[in-house]
Amino acid sequence: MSRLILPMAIVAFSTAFAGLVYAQPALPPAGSVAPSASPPPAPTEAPVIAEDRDPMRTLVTPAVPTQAPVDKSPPPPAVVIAAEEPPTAEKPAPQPQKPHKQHIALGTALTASVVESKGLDAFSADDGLAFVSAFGTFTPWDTKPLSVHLTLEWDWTKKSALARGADSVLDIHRLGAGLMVRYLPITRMALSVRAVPSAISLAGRIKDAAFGEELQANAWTWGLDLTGGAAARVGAFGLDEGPRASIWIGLDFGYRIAGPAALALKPGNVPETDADRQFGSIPMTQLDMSGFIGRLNVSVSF
Amino acid sequence: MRRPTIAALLLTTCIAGCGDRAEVWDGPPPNTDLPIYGMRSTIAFLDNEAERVVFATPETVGEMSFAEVTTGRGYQTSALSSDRQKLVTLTAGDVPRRKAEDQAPALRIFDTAASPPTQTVFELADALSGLALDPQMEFGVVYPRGASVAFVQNPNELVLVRLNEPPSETNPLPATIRSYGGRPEGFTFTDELLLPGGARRLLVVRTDRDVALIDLNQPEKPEITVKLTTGATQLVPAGIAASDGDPEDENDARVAVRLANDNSVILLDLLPTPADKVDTSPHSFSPVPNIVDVGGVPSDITFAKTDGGLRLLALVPNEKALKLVDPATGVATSVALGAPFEKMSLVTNIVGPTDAGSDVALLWSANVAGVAFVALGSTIGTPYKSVEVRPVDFPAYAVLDVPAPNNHLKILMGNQLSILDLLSRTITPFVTPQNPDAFVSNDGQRLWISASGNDFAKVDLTTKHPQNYFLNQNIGEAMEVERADGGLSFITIRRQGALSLSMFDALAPSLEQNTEYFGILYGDYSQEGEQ
Repeated sequence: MSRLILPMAIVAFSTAFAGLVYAQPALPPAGSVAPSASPPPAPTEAPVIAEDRDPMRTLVTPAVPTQAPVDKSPPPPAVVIAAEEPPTAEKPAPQPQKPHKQHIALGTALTASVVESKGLDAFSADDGLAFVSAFGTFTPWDTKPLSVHLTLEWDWTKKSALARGADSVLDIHRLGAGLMVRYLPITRMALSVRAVPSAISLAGRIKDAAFGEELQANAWTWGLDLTGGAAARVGAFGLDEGPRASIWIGLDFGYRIAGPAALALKPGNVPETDADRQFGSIPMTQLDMSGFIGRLNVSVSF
Repeated sequence: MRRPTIAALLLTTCIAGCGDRAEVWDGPPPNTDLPIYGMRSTIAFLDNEAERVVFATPETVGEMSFAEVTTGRGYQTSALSSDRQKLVTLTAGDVPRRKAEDQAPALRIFDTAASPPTQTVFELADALSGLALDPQMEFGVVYPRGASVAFVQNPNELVLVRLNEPPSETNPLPATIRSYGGRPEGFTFTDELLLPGGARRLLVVRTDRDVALIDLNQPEKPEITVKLTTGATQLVPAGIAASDGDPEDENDARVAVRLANDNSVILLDLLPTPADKVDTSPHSFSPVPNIVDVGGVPSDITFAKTDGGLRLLALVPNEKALKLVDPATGVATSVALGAPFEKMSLVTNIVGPTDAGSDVALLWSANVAGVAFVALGSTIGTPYKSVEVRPVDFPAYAVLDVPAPNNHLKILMGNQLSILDLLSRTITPFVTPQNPDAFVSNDGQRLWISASGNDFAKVDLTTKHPQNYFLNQNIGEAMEVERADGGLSFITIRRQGALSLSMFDALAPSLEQNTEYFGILYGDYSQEGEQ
C-alpha cells in the first residue's frame, strides 16, 4: 500500500504547488523596471513671475523734498523691478536600484517519511512518520540562476502506540547539515536538489507492567537525505529580480538512507532505592529509518 | 495558503494510514497461558502469538544471551523431552489452507544441544491437537484431542513420528486404530519387551473403552485392539503397566490394564500367535486377556518382584489394601495397609532389594498424612515382609524424585514440604508458606522452594540446611539451568508485562550478583536482527 501513497501524495502536492504558482498576481517580466513606491522626481522649476509680495523685489521711488508743496496732482505710478534669481543647478538622472543578493533563508517544514522497518512496529501502528522541521540555508555566493547553499536542519517527531498491550513512545530527533543546489528558471520558481547527511537520535520508551517504570531504549544512527523539489515564490519585498526578502513555499521528495539503529531495552528512571539493581538489556528489532520522504516547507530568504 | 494546507493534511493522512504491523503488537501477551520450559541449559518461552520460541541462555553469572527460532502458526500443544534437551511443539498451520504457501500442520523438534537451537520440522497431513512423547524420545504420537480444528477428522487416527529420523515419506506414519466407539485418550510407551518373534517396544493406546497395541518396531503393521467392553457397562481403562517377566523367556511378557470404574484389573499375556492364525495374523504375538477382581477400584498398579515371583501390585484405597496378583494364576492376595494409600513407586533401586531379592514399594496419598514402605518379602502365608508407615504432618499429593547422589531422598509435597530419607526412613519437615512450589536441581544437590511473593529458599540436600533469599520482584516460576561457563543459574520468572526474569548464581545466590531482564517478549533475537 505504501507504494501507492507516495505517488498520491506527489499528485496532491503537485496540484497544490501548481495552484500556488499560478494563483500569484502577475509580475512584470524580468528585466523591466519595477514600479516604485517613491514619488516621481520633480521637474526643473520654471522662472517665477514676480509678484508684489515677493520679498526679493526692490521698490524704487522718487525723492521727496523736505517741505515740498503739496502736489495735488495724482502721484506717478510706481515702477517695480523684480530682482533676477540665480539659475537653479540641474539634478542628475535617477540611477536604477541594484538587485539585492539574498544569502540566508530560514524556514519550517512538515516532513513526512515512510519507514517500513519492523523496528518501528513496537512504537507505531503504521509506517508513517510526520516530522516537524526547522531549517536554515546560507549562500556564500549567490549566483543566478544556479546557486549553492549550505543547509542546516532539525526534525522532530513523536510516535506512540501499544507494544504488546503496553504504552510505547518513540521520540526521534534529526540534525542534518548538507548542501543544496538551486536553479531559478524564473524569478518566481526554484528547482533544487539536496544532499543532507544527518545524525538521528532515537529514544524509545515502553511502560512495562512488570517493572512499573519505563523501559527505555536509546540509540543514534546516521542518515542521508537525497531529495529534489521545487519552490514557488509567493511573496517578495523589493525588486522582482533581486528582492530584499522573499517568501517561498516548496515541496521536496526523495529518499532517506539510514543506518540501522540497535535499540536495546532496559529500565530507565530507576528509583534511588533500586540503584543497586543490575539490569540486562533486551535487544529490539533494529530500526532502519530508510524510506521515502516528502517535505512541504515554507521559508523566508533575505 | 489554503491549498498547501490541504495538501499537507493529505500527505500526513496518507502516510499515517500506510503500512501495517503484526497484530501481535496490539494486545498483551497471554502471560498466564504462555508455555515456559526450564530446559537443561536454557529457558524456552513459547511466544506463540509471534510464532517463535525465545531461548534465554545464561552465559555467565550476570549475562544472558537470547535467541529465537521461528515456529508455526496455530499452536496446539508442546512437550519437553525427559532429558530436557528437546522441545517438541505441535502447530495446526493455516486452517483452512487456501494457498500452496499456507503453512501445513507440523510437529517441530527444537534441539537445544546446539547453539543456537536447531529445528526439525515434520509436516503433517492433518491438523491434530494432541501430542504424546516417548520417554526414550524415539517416538512421538500426534492424535486428535478435544475439539477438532479440521472440517472432517477421524478421531481414531494417529500419526507416529520417529523423532530421531529425518522426515521422509514414511515418517511421519499415519495409523488408524479400530474403533468400537471410543477415541484415543492416553498412551504408554513400554520398555523393550522380549516377545514371541523378538524384542520390541509397544505403544499401548487407551481409548475410553478399549486398549490397542502397536508394535513400535513395525508400526506400519495394523494395531491389535483389545475390546474391553462387552456388556452394558462401559469399562474405562485408566492406567497401564507392562512387564517383560523373565528376561530370558519370550512368552511371559504382560501388559496390565487398570480400570477407572471397575474392581478388576485386566492382564494381557503376550503369547505367541495361535497356530491357526499364524498365516493370517501380521503379528508374531497375541494378547490373551485375563480379568482379575481385586475387590475395589484400583488407584495405581505396577509389576514387582516378590520371593514368590512376579506380581502385579494394585492399590485399592477403599479396601485400604495392596493387592498382589499372581499373573500366572490370577490369584490375588491382600496386604492390609491401614490407610487408603493411592500412589506407589518402587524404590528397590535406591534402598536395595530385600534379603530375598524382592522389591520395596513406597506408598503415599493425598488423603493420608503419612507414607508407607512395603517390603514384598513373602507372598505365601503372610504376603509381605513388612509394612512400615511413617507419619507426615500433611498428606502428600506428589513425591519428587532426587537425582544421584542424593537419590535416596524423596521430596513430599503437600500444603507443607518434607524430605524423606529412604535409607534411614526418616522425615525432615520444613516450615514453609502454604502450598509451596519446589523443584530439585539436576545434580541432586539442592532443593529450591518458592511461594507466591518475593521469597525463595535453597535447601542443601546433604545438610538439609535452608538458606532464605529475598527478591526485588514476585516469583512466578523458578528453575535451575546450566550455564555456558559450566556453572549453574537459578532463574525466576515473573509473568507480568512482557515477562521478566531474574538470574542468580545457583551455588551462591546473592542480590549483588543478580541480573534482571525486563520485557523479554519485546525483544528481537533473530540472527539477522533487522527484518
